[in-house]
Amino acid sequence: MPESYPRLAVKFDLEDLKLDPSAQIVIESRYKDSVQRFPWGTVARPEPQVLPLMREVPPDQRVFFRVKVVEPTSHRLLALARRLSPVDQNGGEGGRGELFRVRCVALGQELWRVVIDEDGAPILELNADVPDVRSRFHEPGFRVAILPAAMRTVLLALREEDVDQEDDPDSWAQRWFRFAEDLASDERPDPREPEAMRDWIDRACSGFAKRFSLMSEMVAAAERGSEP
Amino acid sequence: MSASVRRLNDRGREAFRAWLEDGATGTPPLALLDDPTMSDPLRLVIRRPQAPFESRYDLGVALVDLLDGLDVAEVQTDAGLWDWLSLCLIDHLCPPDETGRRKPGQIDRYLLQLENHRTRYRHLVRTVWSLVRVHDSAPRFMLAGPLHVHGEAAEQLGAYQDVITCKPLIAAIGSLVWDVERGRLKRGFGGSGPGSARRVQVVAKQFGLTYDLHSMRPEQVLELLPREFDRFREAPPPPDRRPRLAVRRHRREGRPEASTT
Repeated sequence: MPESYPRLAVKFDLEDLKLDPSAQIVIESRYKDSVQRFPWGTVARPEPQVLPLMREVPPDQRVFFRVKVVEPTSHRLLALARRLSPVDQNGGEGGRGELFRVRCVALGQELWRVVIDEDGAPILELNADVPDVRSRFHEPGFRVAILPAAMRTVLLALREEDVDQEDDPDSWAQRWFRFAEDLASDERPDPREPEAMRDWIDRACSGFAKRFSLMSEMVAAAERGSEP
Repeated sequence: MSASVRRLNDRGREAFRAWLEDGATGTPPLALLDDPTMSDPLRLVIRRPQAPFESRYDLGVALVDLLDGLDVAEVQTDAGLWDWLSLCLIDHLCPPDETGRRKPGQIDRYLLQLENHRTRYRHLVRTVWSLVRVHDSAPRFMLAGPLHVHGEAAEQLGAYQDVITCKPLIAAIGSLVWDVERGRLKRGFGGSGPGSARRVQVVAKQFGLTYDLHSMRPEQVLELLPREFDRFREAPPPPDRRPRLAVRRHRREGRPEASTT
């Protein structure tokens, strides 16, 4: 058994919403196909009613939250916040500001792979069998070989998967598309125009490699490595 | 052969995959189950499930009991464990016909693709454990068939996190569509028309914008369901039930309503 489960602590600022003080608060942690609910008192007294341990979430895994404010008799939702990301104990973003999550998993004979999870979050998986793979991922040779191709994979997947059904401007897909628009110096084409879309994705990936000088850094590193 | 549950390692999973991808011909690679180069022991000694099981529900009950001592967070994400159990039960999950031929379905039914939310709920072993663990006997209506049949109800409801994790909703639907006397699903729920399993996720999504379904009692969820589900009810509902008024109020307010289109 794990010695400690992730423990949930929440700060509320509900004043502007003018909610009924007796309305109940519930927090839901969502991880893959598991949902844990934590009754969190009322608007007047928001405090956990049970020990807020996330027993169904493995350590170091990304979890999203919903906060619901519920009228207790009718069970109507008075307020709802979705797709909330936690911050860590030091106030870190917990990953919401990033474009990729990176994790190390068994990948057999493949070095890397991109998957899109159910929240639309792109995850770059690295082969855990490579010694010290997280550190090596920052080496210029790794970066130039993986990042533009991974970016292309993400954009193609997001284009095809229509993961942005919730019309959330802060969704992973929308943030990726804004990032790519900036890199391609062009607006995202109509998804029904596959050729234009593919061209736009190519320009975005190329722009990415250019902005971070990926090839120049790799060549420089190779030259340093070949020096006596 | 050991009597304990183990977990396939990456090599073991690859070997199992290769057998499935080759059409599951010949003898299943049951040697993987105990081969120390292909599988690892669990931290606890867990007795192997003793097939046969009359239904998927019975397997789920047995697994919840057997795996009770393990940490839920670890168990639900341990693909090696679930794939080991798949292989262990392969004669029931992918049974040979009278000529000895097997007809394997999609590979996700036997090999857990944890990161793929579109298919992971189809794993024939993990899903029954997960449903019984979360909902107890309520999902019996989804798990009444033999071990190798995923079933339309499990397919339609399992695909949506908001639906399949909602205890009052699953309990309500179960009480509505499960024919207790005959021990089977009522006719019409498995299709695609009004009142079908496909419609449950649409209706639940709409009501989920207005209600916290998780905090309701199953009877309250039942009262919310639109008339298309009335054909499953034992007795006609009272004409002036409040939730119907609630739905009408949504219409006036321009909120989402339950439609049958």
